[in-house]
Amino acid sequence: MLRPGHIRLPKDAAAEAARAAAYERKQRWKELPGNRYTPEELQAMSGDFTDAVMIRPKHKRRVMYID
Amino acid sequence: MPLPKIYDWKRVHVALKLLAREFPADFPKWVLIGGGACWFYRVALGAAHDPDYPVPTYSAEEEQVWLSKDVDFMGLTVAEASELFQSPFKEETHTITFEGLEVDFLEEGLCLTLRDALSHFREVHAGDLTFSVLAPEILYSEKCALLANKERPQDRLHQALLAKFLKSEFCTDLENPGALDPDEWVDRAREVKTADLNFFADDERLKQRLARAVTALNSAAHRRIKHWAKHHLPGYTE
Repeated sequence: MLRPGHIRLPKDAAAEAARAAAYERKQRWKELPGNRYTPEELQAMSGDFTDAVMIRPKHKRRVMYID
Repeated sequence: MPLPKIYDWKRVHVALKLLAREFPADFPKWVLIGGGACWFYRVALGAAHDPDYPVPTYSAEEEQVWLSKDVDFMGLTVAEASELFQSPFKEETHTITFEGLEVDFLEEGLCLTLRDALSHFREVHAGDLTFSVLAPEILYSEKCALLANKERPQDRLHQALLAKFLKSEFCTDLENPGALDPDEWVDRAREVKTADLNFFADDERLKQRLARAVTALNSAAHRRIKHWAKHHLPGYTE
C-alpha cells in the first residue's frame, strides 16, 4: 500500500543509511563526464524561458455556511 | 560504475515538453524541484533586469557544476512513478530512464516534503508549455538545509542565485502595490527568514529599497506588511 504524502519517510538508522548511500551514488553520477550541462549548453538554453509568465496560485478557501 | 549515457537532448525546456506531451494528465501536477527549478529562477532573474540584483557572472568552473542533466520532480511516490513510467527506479542514480531523460521523483528532501511541494508551487506558462515549479522561498529553505548538511558546490551557487531572485522579487512586489498580495508577501518573507535569519539584515541595498517601498504603501491596505517591517526590517521606522 502506498504511503500517503504527509507521512515522512522512516528515520531509523538503516533507512537513513540507505538514503545517504543513494544520495552519494547520485552525486557520483552527476560528476561523471557528460552528466552536467557545459557552459556553452547553459548559454544556449538561457533563452528558453525568457518569455515565461509565472503565476502564483492563490489558495482557494472553501466557504462553509451554518445557520 | 558504468559509463554514463550521453544524452540526445540538451535543454530543460525540451525535457519538460517531452514529459508534458507523454503524460498530459499527470504532468501538470508534478512540481519541478532541484537544479532544474533553480535554473528556471536564474532565467527569470535575468529576464527581470533588476539593476540591484543581476544574475551573477559565473566562472567556467562554476558553470561546469551549475546544472546536471537529470530532472527532479515531486508529486509522485517512487512506486507511483515507477508504475506510471513502466520502468523501475535505477538503484545507481535513483532515476527512471525515459526517452533519453533521467527523471527522478523525490519523496522527501532535507526539510522539503511532498505536501510542501504540492502546496507551494508556481505555475509557469512558457509558450505552449505549462508546468509547475517549486516556490522560490521553499526551494531556498531546502538549499539552506543542504548547505548546512552537505558539501556540494552547486548548492552554494543555487542558494546565492535564489537569494538574489527573492530579494529582487520582494522589492519589485512592494514597488507595485496595485498587484501586491500582502498576506502572500508576508508569508513568503517569514518562510525565508525562518530559513535564513539574517536574510533581511545583511544587505544594505535590500533594507533601503524595502524600507522606501514599505513607507510608500497605504497604511490601511498594507497594514500587515508595515507591521512585519517594524519587527523584521532593521532600521525601518515610520
